[in-house]
Amino acid sequence: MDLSVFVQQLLNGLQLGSLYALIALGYSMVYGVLLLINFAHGDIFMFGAFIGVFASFILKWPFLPTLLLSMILTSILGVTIERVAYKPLRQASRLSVVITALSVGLLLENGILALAGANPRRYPQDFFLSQTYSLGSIIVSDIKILVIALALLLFLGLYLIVTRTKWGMAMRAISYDKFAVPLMGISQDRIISLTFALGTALAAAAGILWVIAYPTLETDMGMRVGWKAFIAAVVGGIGDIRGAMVGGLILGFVEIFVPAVFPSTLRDPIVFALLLAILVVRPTGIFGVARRQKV
Amino acid sequence: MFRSMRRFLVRLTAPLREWLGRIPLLAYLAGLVGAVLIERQFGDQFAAALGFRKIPAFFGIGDLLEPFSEINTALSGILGPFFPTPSQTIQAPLQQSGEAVGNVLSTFVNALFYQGRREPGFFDTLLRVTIYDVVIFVIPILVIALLLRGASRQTVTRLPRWANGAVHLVLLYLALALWGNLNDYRALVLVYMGVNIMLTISLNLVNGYMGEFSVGHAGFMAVGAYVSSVLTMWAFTDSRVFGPHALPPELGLPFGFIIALIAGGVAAALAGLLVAFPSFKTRGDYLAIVTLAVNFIVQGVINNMEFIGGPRGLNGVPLWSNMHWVFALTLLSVLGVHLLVNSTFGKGIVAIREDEVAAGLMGVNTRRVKLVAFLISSFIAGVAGALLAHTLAYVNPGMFGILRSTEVLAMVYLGGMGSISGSIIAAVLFTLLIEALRPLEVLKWVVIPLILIFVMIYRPQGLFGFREIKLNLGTERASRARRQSPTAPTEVSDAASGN
Repeated sequence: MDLSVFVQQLLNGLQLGSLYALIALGYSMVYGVLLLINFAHGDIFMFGAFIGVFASFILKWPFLPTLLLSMILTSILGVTIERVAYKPLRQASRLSVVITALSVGLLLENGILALAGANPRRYPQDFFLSQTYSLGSIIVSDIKILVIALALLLFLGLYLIVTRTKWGMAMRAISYDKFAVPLMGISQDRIISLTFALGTALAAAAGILWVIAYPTLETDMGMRVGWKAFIAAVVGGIGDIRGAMVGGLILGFVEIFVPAVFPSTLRDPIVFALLLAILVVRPTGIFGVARRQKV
Repeated sequence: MFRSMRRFLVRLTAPLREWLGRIPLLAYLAGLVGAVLIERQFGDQFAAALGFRKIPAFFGIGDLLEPFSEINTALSGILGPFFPTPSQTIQAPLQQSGEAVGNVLSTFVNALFYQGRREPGFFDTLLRVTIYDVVIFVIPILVIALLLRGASRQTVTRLPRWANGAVHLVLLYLALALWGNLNDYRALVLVYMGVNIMLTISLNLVNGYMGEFSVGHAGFMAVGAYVSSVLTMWAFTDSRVFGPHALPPELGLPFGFIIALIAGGVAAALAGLLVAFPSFKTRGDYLAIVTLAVNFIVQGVINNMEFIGGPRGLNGVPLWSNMHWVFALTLLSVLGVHLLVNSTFGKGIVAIREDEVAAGLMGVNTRRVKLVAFLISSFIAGVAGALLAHTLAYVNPGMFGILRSTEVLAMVYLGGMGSISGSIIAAVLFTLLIEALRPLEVLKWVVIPLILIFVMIYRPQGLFGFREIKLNLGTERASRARRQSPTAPTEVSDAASGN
């Protein structure tokens, strides 16, 4: 593989990885706060992309307002799901919450499928007019630049929120010790809602960017992409937002580079085998810290 | 509100349930056999008299929702106008969506009362199904059970324990075999039920008893299905894929099939090693990912094996399995898991769930216990997959995806973790639910998650979490039975649920 192809693929991997990372962040934040694998997150990502269809076709909005609308509506959905489906189960066993999460995911996916029909969708041609620039033999489209830059921007914003604000401190505090936090006068429910809102807003952004970058939108997208992003979050060390970012990027690079060497149909098995190997070497992911078990 | 309603119902029906609960299970089973015999004799004529084209396959639950099958096309108009496809031009989405809502409502009402439809409506079907079920099943079962209650109580107290079990099982088998024999669809759904029971109890062993979180059970099923199918096709059939048969086909049934089933199970157990070894170091959510990844890997590898059809699947698997095989193997696996979890070894499994470190300190060899539990669990899943493949005569990788795993998980948690009887009931109910909702197509997967969410919110421990159903086998002394709270045959003592 010569250098220009390599760089080209590197950029492709960066684009795909950034998208995975944005979704993985949502999984990771929710897990950090609630110790819950929010299996509905992939379908929330799909919902965000659907809002984009509505805003671009019916409201005829340009890119930025569409993105904002989708992020806002999707975070409302996320907080609603948390309030309606997960909150009654705070005291229940964690596994019944997981089943609920799986069910909410199926409900979203098939609810939209039933109410809106199965035809594949995409955004209008003039929604995001892409231009390509060539640097020597490397071709860069501004879609790639947008995806990578926006993902980085959102990640930095989230990182600042989590590390620099009081809300972020409360979020970290809950994941550290959820019993002590209410004693400090912090509303646990409010922090959990905030976490869901932030995580689902990122998923919505990823949804819009995904459909711009890979222009088809089907209802099973949440399942196909969401599971992989979840695995990215785990590889990075679930519960840690740096881990989600790194895990997403790793997954993106692997998915792009495996087909360069092996037949492309082997992509998924190899990706998953690799992740398995990482988990065997580092059982709690790259950034994950093992929780010590006391007897 | 639900609680007070429930309490009211419980109090209202208590005398009836107490009275019915005094009849031993054996009498009910005899009644079931009797009812099935009656259906074999008069079912066709009675169904025809009620206006059914053929006898209602599963107590009519499959016919009940049939009137609503037209609602799907109307539904997609509700949100469709807001999310147009590129080729559509939408003028007034709100108005279109409003029209669609009206359309859905009118379709719904039409389906309830057969207005403007060629087929009968919901209420009509409900009435006829109820009449059929009451006349053919409820009344004969109750009458026969009442007539035979004294005789069966005597039989039960006289026979030794093992003979008792055998009598119950033979009657159950007789009833199921006669009942399923009447209708191919029934036989097929009975196979699904058996396979689902096997999957559910095997996953319950890992998730419920051992407290791990395995989410990729369908992967093991796929391994079992494919290995056994390839084996039987290669050895006993002339196929395009594997050429002429390698062994005389006469040996195929039953020996070849048994060997193929075992081979499928063993292969699945080997795949289970992929999960068992990481489980020594990883726990909880990370192990969940491992099982998920194994499911994806298995599916992906099969997709890439062109010589067994790749994504197109494998056609021409011999049609060897049927409800009799499935009944036998389901029974074996239920018994096996029951004996396992009640053995000393099984206490080790439960100890790992309660606290792995403490279990290790108490002398449980946690690695060995985990290894064995995973191996047995995936073995049973593999056999279930093999049975399914030889019933459908066809396998493809799409059958064993994450959705299938989710279904099994749903059954485990619906029934309750750590409960074998809960698993069996959940598997049976879930299979019936899927068949009942079949006419609704896409909506099926809207209704099922909704039910699951409600069960989880109002009964987070599942229907029978960590307890078993007490059946009135008639073997307890009368005085002891009276002291206990009255329980109907399928009723559970409410002590553990707290309300």
